[in-house]
Order: sequence, then structure tokens, then C-alpha cells
Amino acid sequence: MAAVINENDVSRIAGGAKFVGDYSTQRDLRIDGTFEGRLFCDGHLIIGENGIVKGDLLGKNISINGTVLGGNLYAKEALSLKSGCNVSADLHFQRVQIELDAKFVGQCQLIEASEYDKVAAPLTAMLK
Amino acid sequence: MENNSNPNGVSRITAGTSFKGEIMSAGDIRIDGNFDGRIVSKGRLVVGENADIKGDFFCQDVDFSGKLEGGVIVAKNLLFLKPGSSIQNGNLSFKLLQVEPEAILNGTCHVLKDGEFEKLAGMPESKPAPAPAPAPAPEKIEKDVPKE
Repeated sequence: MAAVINENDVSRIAGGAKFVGDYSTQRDLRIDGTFEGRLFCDGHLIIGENGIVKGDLLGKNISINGTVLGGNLYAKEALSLKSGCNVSADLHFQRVQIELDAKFVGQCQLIEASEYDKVAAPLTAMLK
Repeated sequence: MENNSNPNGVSRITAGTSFKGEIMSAGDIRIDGNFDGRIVSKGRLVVGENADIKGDFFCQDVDFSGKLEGGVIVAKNLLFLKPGSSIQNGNLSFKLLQVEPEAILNGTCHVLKDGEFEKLAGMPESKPAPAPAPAPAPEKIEKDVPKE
């Protein structure tokens, strides 16, 4: 009989794993490996130091310590680029924080929550 | 290129998550949500009770408790179908198979030969096959062998 452990609530892409495709989750997600494609996370999205992401990311709260190449990042609430990260993408957010020693190249844009929902619609549909 | 001999733990697709695409992993994977696509893993795949999966899976070991509708599961070592699991229209290939009571299995089964897993998964053969009996000792050495 499998016991349900809370640990299973955080999705993860571990180091050494590569995910390519469309990903939608209602829970938190942590990326330590490689992800290519479109990602929707209705929770905290954390990209670890060794995480590499290429593509479009949508998250409620996004925290980046690793590498993001190309594509668009949409944060419904807060977007945080931590020291040591390497981001080459266009950012759309309600609130943003970029730490010193974060490498960032791209455009920034303030968005409303409604605009975020519009962009997220096709990926949210995956969850039904 | 670094060899991840110690991958950082298990990749997880939790309940409430849907992934459509491909996964290539050196480590273990656990699925409790929805998955549609292809997995090639050097580790083990655990499919939880509430997981709904579709597609092709090539892993070292497979621990299966969920639902599969159509597709291929290839386990290089052990394929373990737990109680409550359900496979419809599956094509299973494995070295060892264990099916628990109240597991539903509709499909084909096939035992893997050596090296067949790599071929099916489209992987290059990583380790040489265990050395068969060595060729008879080369008695005839045509080169210059200084005679004693």
C-alpha cells in the first residue's frame, strides 16, 4: 500500500534529465535538468543553478538561478532573477527583482493578471 | 561532456501535472500525473496509482501501478505490475516480469534478448556484451617473434 508523502507534491526535473515538450502543472516545479518547450506552472517555478531552459515559461512566481535561453517568461505575480543566473529572454511580470550579478539580456514588460491568463489559456487547457 | 554518475535524484511528474513530449533521463522518474509521449531512461520508472500514461517507455526497471492505454513498455530488467494497475493494448518487453493479483493486462509480452533493449530504445550500445569464450589462443604469430 503506497503511502502518500507530501514530498510528491513538488514536481521536479532532476539533473541528468531532459524534458522536451509541453508541461502543465498546478503544483510547484523545480528544474535542475534541461527543459525545452512550453511550460505552465500554477505555483512556484524554481530553476536551479544547473537548470537550463529553452522556450516559453509561465509561472505564478518564478525564481531563476540557472540558465534561460530564448523565449518568453511570464510571471503572474513575481519574477526573480537571482545572482549568478543567465537569462536571455523577454520578461513579462507584475513584479520583478533582478539581483546584482544576474546576467540578463532581453526586454521587460509589465503585464496585468488578465493578460497572463490569456497567454496561459492553451496550456491550462492541458490540465483539464 | 560530463557523465552524470550521480544524477540529482528523482524527476517527478506529480498529481495535477500534465506533460506531453519526450523525456531523456539518466536518473529515476516517478509519474503520478498525466503523461503522453516517450521516455528513454537509464534508471527506473515508477508509475503511481493515479497516473494516466500513454506512449512509449524504455527504462531499466518499471514499477507500474497506474493506467496505460496503448503504447510500448520496454524494461531492460524488471517490469513489475502492481495490484490495481491496468494495461490496455500494451506491448510489453522485458527481461523479467512480475504481475501481481488484480493487475489487468491486455496486450503482448515479449522477453528481451541481450542488446535488444538498446536497439528498441534507439540507444547506442553503451557497454560491451559480456566477453564470450575468447577466441582460441593465437598460436600462429606471423610477425617476428624472437625465438628463445
